[in-house]
Amino acid sequence: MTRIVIDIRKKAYPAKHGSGEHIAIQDLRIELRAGEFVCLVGPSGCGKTTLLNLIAGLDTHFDGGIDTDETGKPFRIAYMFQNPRLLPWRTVRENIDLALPKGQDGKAVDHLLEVMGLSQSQSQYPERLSLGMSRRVALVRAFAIEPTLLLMDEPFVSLDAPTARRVRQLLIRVWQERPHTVLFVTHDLREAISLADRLIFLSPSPTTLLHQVSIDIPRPSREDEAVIEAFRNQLISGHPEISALL
Amino acid sequence: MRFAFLLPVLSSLLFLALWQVLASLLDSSALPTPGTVFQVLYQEIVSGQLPFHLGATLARLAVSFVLAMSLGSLIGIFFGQHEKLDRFFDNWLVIFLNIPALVTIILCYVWFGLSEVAAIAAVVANKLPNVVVTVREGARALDRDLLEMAQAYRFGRWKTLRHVIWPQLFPYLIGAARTGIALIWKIILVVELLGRSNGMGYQLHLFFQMFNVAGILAYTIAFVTVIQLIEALLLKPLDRHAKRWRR
Repeated sequence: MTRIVIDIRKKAYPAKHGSGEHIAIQDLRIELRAGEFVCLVGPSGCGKTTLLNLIAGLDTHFDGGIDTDETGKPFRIAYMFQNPRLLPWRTVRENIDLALPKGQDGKAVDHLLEVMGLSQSQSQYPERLSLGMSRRVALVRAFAIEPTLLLMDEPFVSLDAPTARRVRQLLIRVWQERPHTVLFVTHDLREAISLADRLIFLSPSPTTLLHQVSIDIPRPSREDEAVIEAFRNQLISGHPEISALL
Repeated sequence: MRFAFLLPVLSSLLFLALWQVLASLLDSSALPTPGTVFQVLYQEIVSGQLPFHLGATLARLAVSFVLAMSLGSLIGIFFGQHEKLDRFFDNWLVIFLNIPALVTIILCYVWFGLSEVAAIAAVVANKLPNVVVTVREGARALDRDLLEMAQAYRFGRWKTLRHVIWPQLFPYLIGAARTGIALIWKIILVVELLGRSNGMGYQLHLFFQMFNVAGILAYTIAFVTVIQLIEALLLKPLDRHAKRWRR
């Protein structure tokens, strides 16, 4: 099975007039098991988005590497950004189909659209959709390419609580149908506990690994807010350095 | 809706009526009546003179338009994405934008002789900086978020160009095309007047020498009509097509 090793020795932004070199990430090593759902938790502006951009290959100026022991099947990364980033001049369906790798048929897309309740909106243009719907389209796009690793950058921020909860449930549902490794960035500890197999806490910049916790709450009981709350309180009382982050 | 269709018709009729009244009052060969002008227009069309000269001008228009648009777009996209080069060459653009059309035309004829190549070159040189400036604006405004998305999903060069970049540049290209046609029309007549032996400009020059105002007005009407047709049948539908996704 696939293991993914993310090893960032140093990511720095060059000195600009006035200020010196800014080190964003230093000595950060994360190992992801196949099919593991990992949440990265850290304060805003701690370089989480920078980290995802490095993993996605959007930024190649850093010391270190992303390695996988994957053989045979192509290593594919899907990226769900903070805003949906759909092409406004292409329909919902076209937006998804454009991201599909060559030779992949649309059956998986049909199914995902069905699950997300988007089948009726396939031929709409994104500007006519609500934010919640656009997010679901972006989610379908990310799942449709059948990624080895799915990166998610606070994808449910600025959704109202019931909508966010519904999209989170959908996310877990499609993920369980076809499990793959997920790296989910958030600053919301409750959200992280309700989703993840493992939490990784990051320090403010230069970002480095502070602490990690496995979550063993069975998935069905995570619907219960009291369970999440209890886990959160226990976590914070056991690790005061975490509460300082939040 | 019916009203919206009526208004332009009414305003055209009013214009013709005013023209008729003024021409009757003056009763001079310097301002012939609409009737006389349309008669000349008809004769020129039937004799084949007008289609010949209009055709020559349209051919020059098409060639120089395509050249100016494609060259200008390439340079504009390039400048839009390379900030340093853009700043370096910005002065050149300002200079070229401000050279009077007549100067470029004369220089082209002096340098390349009284040839077709010189005529086309003169028109292209006049229009090019305009296209560059407009398209450069579009290339500067490209959405970085969408480009990153395309990169993350491995769109590749062709897909990115076709589905991410082109739709963003399209409104700018249409804008450049619309102002471009209007500008080229005006310049091309001067080019023909100064150094060609056919085309609308040449013909207008002949009419001018004979003080044939009816001829001049007849050609003007033909000319305005063709431009309006290009605008209404080609550019407007293209523009509407490009905006179909907007709310």
